[in-house]
Amino acid sequence: MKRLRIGLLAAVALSFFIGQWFSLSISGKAPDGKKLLRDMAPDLNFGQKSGMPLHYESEGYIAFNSYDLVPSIRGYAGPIKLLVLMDRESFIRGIKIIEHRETKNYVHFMESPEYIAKLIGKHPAEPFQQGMDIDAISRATVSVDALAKTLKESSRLAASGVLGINVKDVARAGAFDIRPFVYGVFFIVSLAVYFVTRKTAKYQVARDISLAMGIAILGIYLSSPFSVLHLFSIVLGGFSSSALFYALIISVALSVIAAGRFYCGWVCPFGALCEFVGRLPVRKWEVSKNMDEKWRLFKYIILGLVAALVLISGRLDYGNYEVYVTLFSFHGSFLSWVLVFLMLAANLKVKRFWCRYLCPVAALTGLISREDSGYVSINNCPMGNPTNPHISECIRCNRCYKTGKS
Amino acid sequence: MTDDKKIRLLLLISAILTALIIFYNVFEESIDIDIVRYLDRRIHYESVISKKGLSLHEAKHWRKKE
Repeated sequence: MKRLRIGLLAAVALSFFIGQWFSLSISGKAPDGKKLLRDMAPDLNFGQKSGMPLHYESEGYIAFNSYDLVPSIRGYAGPIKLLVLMDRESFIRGIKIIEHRETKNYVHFMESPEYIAKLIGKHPAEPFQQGMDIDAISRATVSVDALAKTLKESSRLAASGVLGINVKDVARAGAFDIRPFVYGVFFIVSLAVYFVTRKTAKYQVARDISLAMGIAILGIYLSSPFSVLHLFSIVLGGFSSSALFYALIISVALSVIAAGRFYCGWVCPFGALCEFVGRLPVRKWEVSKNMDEKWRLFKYIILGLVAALVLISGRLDYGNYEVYVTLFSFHGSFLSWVLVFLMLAANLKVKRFWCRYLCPVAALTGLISREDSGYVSINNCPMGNPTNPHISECIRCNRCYKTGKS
Repeated sequence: MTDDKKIRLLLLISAILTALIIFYNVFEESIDIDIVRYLDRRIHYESVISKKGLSLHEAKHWRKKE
């Protein structure tokens, strides 16, 4: 395991540096704004980007890259860069999303031409508020808010800086986001219950309640199960404006330090579904120890490959294969849905199939799990672990702790 | 078939599916664009070009022939 840890860390570091070198070497080949403008408005002839703030000029219109004006506004996984076309009265006449790192499963509707068309004709003096003059998209609130804020603020600055039209800086009414607190309370209560009950197998019902809450809160209500893409986003410098994003990363990191794969055993909504499906009274396949051990390494290989792919390309969407993202965003490609249903059905025959062999979060949390010799796995382990398993495979269900000590 | 063989088969299918999903993520944009382009050409071919006795080719080729 030590060698695996070092190998994966080295692969991640190497991928990161290759990615940085690669992005530096192609930085001169950033999207050609003039070409994009030609596609957006073929009848207009724009000059080179110039002036302060930076913008393109044509007769009767200006255009600008929102990132040049408001680089600090961020969505769930970084800034949403827009190319905006504006007329001389500062009405928005064209929008193109040039670049973003939001998870496509959540923002696919926000990117659609129908949605963008509804923003054309707006003026920066308008409120740009979800549910008022901007259509809200369920499960993409943070991204839509970032899009609206980016569009309003960049247009306002372009109107005053280029066109000399002063648009009053009216603060958008920011609704209090209760979601990080709901998640925080749920996580802290579950962790506390785990610590209180960990030396006895009597209170398994407490874990079942926590798992059910994981499905309801983290899966259905928040639609934000922890994903390795959260971490890759940070590594790539895509900082978020969402408190929930950081709450997820910090809670999982702290719980791994304190309690190993507690997240997998008590919180993960997909793990919960897998476990509940696995409890159905169907005869399970007998996995030989040799094959089981060998294939459990597969999740580390996938994690390493995905890390390399994402960090070298700088594209988070390339590594988007996690089944919980597809399931709880209710969106994914046909193949992604096939994998979701296969991984759920597999639990009928092999306990926690996805968590054992394929899950990148399981690999990541397993790699840095704290050793605890109390877990010996002799009491119907939900992970199908052999006796005295490596701690990286233990999800802290508490069924065997006391038995092992006695 | 033994349980071990069944599990190995399931693991292989899962691994292939995972690889295909990642492959699709990487090539999604070009695949989608190529499919749309092909369908556009095909529809135009079926409705206009085939009646002129020409074969399915790139649009430029048709324009030259037409």
